[in-house]
Amino acid sequence: MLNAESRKKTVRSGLPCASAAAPDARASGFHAQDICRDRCIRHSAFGILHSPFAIRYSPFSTRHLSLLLLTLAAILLPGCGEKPSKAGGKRVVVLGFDGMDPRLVRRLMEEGRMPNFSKLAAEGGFYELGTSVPPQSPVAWSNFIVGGDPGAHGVFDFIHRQFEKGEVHPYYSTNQTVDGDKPWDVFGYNVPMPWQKGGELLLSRGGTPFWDYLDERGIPSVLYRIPANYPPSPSKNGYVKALSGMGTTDLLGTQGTFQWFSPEFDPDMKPPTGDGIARPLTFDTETNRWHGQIEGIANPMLKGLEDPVMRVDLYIEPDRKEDTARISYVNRGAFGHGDQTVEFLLSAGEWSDWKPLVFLPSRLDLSNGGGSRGIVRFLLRKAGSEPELYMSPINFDPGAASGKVTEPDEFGVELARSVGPFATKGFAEDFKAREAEATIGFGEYAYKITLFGDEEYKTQSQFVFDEGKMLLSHALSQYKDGFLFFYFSSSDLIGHIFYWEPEPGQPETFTDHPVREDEDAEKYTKVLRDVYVQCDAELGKTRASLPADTTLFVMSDHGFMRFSRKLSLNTWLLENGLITLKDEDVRTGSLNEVVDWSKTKAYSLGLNAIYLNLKGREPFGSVEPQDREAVLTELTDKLMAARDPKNNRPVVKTVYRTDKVYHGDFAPGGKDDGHTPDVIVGLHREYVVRLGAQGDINKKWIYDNTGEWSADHCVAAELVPGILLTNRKLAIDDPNLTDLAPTILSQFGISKPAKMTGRELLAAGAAAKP
Amino acid sequence: MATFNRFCNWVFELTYAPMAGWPPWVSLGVISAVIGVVMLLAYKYTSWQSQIGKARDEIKARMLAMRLFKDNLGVTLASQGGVVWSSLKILFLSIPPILVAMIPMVPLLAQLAGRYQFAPLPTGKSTYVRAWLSDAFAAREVKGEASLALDPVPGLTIEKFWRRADSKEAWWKIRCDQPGKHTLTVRAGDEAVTKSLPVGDYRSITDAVSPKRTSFYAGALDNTLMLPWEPPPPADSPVRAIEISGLMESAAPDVLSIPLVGNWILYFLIVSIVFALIVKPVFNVRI
Repeated sequence: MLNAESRKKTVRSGLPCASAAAPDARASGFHAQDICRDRCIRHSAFGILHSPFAIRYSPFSTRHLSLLLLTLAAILLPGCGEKPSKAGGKRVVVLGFDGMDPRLVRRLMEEGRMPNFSKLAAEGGFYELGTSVPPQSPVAWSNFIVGGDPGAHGVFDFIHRQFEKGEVHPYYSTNQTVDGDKPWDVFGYNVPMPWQKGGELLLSRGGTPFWDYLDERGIPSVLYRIPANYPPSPSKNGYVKALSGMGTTDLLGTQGTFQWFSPEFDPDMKPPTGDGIARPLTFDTETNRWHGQIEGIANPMLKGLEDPVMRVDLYIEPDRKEDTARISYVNRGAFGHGDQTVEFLLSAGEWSDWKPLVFLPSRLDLSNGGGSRGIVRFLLRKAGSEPELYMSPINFDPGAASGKVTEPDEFGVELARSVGPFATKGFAEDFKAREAEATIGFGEYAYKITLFGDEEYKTQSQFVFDEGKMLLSHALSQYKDGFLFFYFSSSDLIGHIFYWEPEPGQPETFTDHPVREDEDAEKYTKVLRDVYVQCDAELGKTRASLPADTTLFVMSDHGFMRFSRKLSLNTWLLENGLITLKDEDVRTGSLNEVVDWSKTKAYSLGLNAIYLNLKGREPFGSVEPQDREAVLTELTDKLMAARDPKNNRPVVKTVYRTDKVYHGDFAPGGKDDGHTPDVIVGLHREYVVRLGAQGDINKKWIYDNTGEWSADHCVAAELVPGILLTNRKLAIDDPNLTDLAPTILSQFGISKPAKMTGRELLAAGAAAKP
Repeated sequence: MATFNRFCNWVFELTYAPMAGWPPWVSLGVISAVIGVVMLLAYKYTSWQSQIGKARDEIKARMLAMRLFKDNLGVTLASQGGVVWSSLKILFLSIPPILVAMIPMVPLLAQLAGRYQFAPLPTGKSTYVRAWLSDAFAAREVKGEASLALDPVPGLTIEKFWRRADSKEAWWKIRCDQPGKHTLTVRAGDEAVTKSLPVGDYRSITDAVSPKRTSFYAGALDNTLMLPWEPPPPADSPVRAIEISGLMESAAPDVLSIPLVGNWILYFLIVSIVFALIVKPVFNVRI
C-alpha cells in the first residue's frame, strides 16, 4: 500500500481519470453535435417544404426527424472516432526485443540466419546500446520511456521497498495498490457506498513518457506491450493508444499465479517452488468425474470473512480410452445475462485455446458485463485415471475491457475483435511453471513431481510469441503515421531458461549446464537461436509493410549471459558485519524477523540494490547522516573485495553509487529521493542475485546455480549492452537507451525537453535510405 | 408443425433474399423498421383505439386538474386515482393487440435468430459436434454391440472423439478446413442422422444457421418453434439430438458487429420501436 507521501510521488495514475477521458469525450460530442445539427437543419427544411402534413400535425417535423437522425447518427458515428493526425505523414517505428544479446545477434548475422538484421545494419549500422544501471528490464525500459536514468523515473529494480508498521516489505516496482475507503458493514457484508473511493492500482513509474510530448502536439502514438506502463498512463489529448506489457498483473493481482490440478495434492498444500496454487482433484462417484475448484479473487463483498475467495467448480471427465478428457466449468452470469457453460476436449499433452473465466461476486453485479472477466489456457498433462491439469495465470480479458490493460479501454476491445483473445499478463511466458515442483507425501515416502518440462515451456512461450506476431501484423495494417512501438518478450523470457551460449572467448561447448545434459543444453540454446531468427522474420515483415521513408529502430534493453553461481546480498552483508542479527542462533529468515535494526548499517532488497539503514529515512535507522559517507566507503570497499570462495574470483565488477550515477528528482538529494537505493551492485559475469531478493537471509551467501533459470543480465551494466539497429546513420557511436526518447521526439520536430538527459542520436538532416 | 415451419422458412427466405450479403446491421435495421411499422398498424387495427384515446385524454385531463387545483387535496387525490385507473385501462386495452402480435413475432424472432444470433463457423476454426444417444443405443454401443461414428466429410477434419462408458453423450472435435454448406452424418448402428454445418464467411452463406437438431421435447413449443430449420430426428432414432457447440459459443458475437448495441435482439427492439414512434402520427395510432 502507498502512504500519503508515496501517493504524492506516484506521478501518473493509470486508472480512468476524468481529466484524461473528458477531452476525448468532449471532442466526440462536438463532432456528433455538429453533424447532427447540420443534418437536422437540412432535413427539417425538406419536411416543411414537401410534407403534406406540415400544417396539421407534421409527421416529419423537426422533432421526429431529429429523433430519426439521432438514431442514425448514433449508429453511424462510432467509426468516425479517430482523431486527425498532425504527424504530417512522418513515421517512426521502434521494434523492441527484450534482452536480445548483441553477441548472439552478430553471430547469427554472420551465419546468414538474420538477413533482415544484416540488411538494416548495412544501412544505418549495428550498435551496442548502453543499458541502465542496473540492467533490469523495468529500469531499462523506463530509461527508454523518459529519456533519462532512474533518477528521472524512480524505478531502480524489479523490487522496491515500502515501510509498513515499522517493517520493510517488497513490492513490484512499477505499480502499487492503494486502499480505498472502507466500505460500510451491512449485516456482515461489505457494501461500498457510491460516494466512497475504491481501491486503485497506480503506475509508480515517474517522469514524463516521451509520447506525452507527441500527444500534446496531436501526433498519434500506438504502443504495443510497452513495459513499465501498467496501468497505462492516460492520454490527455487522445492521441495515445497503449497496450501494457511487462508489469501487468494477472486477475489475481499477482505477477502470475498458475493453478495445478492433480489428485495427488491434498487440500491445503502449496507447491514449495514456483508461484502457483496446488489444487486437489477429488473423484465424484455419483457423476463419475473429477472435481476441482479454480481459485479466483476475493469477493469484495465478503472481504474480511474467513474465506472470501470466489471459486469456480471444474470437472474433468476422462473418456473410456483414457487418452482424452472433457473439461468443463460454468461462468455464472449477472442478472439478465445467463450462465455460460465452458466445455472442451483435450488429449494428454494438449493445450486448449483461450477460455473465458468469470468471477461474479453477485448476480446483481452488472458492471463490465458482470463480474471480473479473465481468460485462461489449459494443458492436460495427463489424462486417464489420474488426470493432471495446468491452468495458466488468469489474464485479463482484453475483449471485455477488463483490468485496464489498454489506454483507452476500447483499444483492448478493438484488438481482441481483430486478432482474438491474447495474453495480457506482463510475464506471459510462464517460467514460474517451468521452475515449479511439488513434494508429495511425507518422510521417506516423499517424492517430487514437476510441472512444465522444457518442451512444455517452449510450446507455451511460442504461443506468446505467435500472439505477438499476430498483434504486430494488426499494428502494421492499422499504422498510417506518427509513432509505433512494438515489444516482444520472447527473446528475454525464453533466453532466461534456454540461453547457454559460450562465454566470450570460449569455444562452442555446451557443458556444465545446471540442469541439462550437454546435448540438451545445446538443443535448447538453439531454440533461442530460432527465436532470434523468427524475430528477424518479424523485422522483414515490418519493413515490407512500411514506406521507405519511415525511420526505423530495432533495439533491445540489455544483453544476456549464462551464470553458474547465485548469491544472496543480505547474507553477504551479514557475513561482512553490515547486518547484525537479534539472535546469533537464528541466522536465516526475513529481515523483519531476524535483524537487529539498531545495529544494522545496510540491507538489500531487490536484485542489485543496497540501502543504508539511514536515520530519518528508514523506520529504525541506525546510520547517522554524517556517517553516510564512511559507511558507503566501507560498503564499496568490501563489495569490491568480495571473492568467490570456490575459485577466488572477484564477484563484483562495479559498485555504482546512486548519488553519482543518477540524475533527476528521484536521485539522492532530489525532491523525491526517499525510496532510492544508495548503492547498485554491478556483478561480474557468472554471478547473479537469486536469493534473498525479497528481503531474506539465507544460510550461505553464494551457491552453485542448480535451477532452470540459467541465464540472466542483472550484472554490471557495461557487461550486458543491448542492441540498436536503424536505417539512419547515427551521429554518436556510443548510443544509450536514454538517447532514444529525445531522438524520437526530434524526428517529429520536437526539441529535447529539459528533463531528458539523453542525446539526439541522428545526424541533422540524415535521411532514411530507401 | 413441420409444414408450418417449412412455410415460415420459405416466406422468410423469399423476403430475406434481396438483403443477403448486406452488413447485418443494415439488413436487420431495415427488417426492424418494417416490422416496427407493421406492428404499429397491427396494433391500430387490433386494439380499441377510441377507448385508448379516451383513456389517454382522461389522463391528460386529470393531470391538468392536478396542476390547476394543486391546493385542493380532494381534487389532487381524485385525479391521481383517475390517472392510475386510466393507466390500468390502457394496459388492459393493450393486452389483445399484444397477444395478437405475439403470434407472428415468435416465428419471426426464430427466423431472425437463424440469421443474426448464429453464424457460420469461420474457416480454420475447430468446433464440437455433440450427439445425444437414446438409452438403449448407448447401452448397446458400450457393450460393443453397435457402432457409433461420424462420417468423414470432405473439407472437415475429425480431430478427436470422446465417449464415456456411462454417458449418453458423444463428442467429436472437428476442424473446418473448407468453406461450404457441409452435411454431417452421425451413424448409429444401421441408422444415420444428418445435421447441417455451414462454414465460411457469413456474408457468403445466406441460409439460416441452425445450431441444433433435436427430438428432445419435440412437442415442446420452444424447440419446435425456435429451431424451425431442421426437422427433429425420428422419435425412434438412436440419435436424439445433434448440436454444433461452437455456433452457440462464439460465432455470432464475432461476426455480428452491430454498432452500439452488440446484441441483435436489443437492436431489433430499439430500431422497431423508434420507427414505430416516428410513424405513429402519420397513421394516427394511439398507444
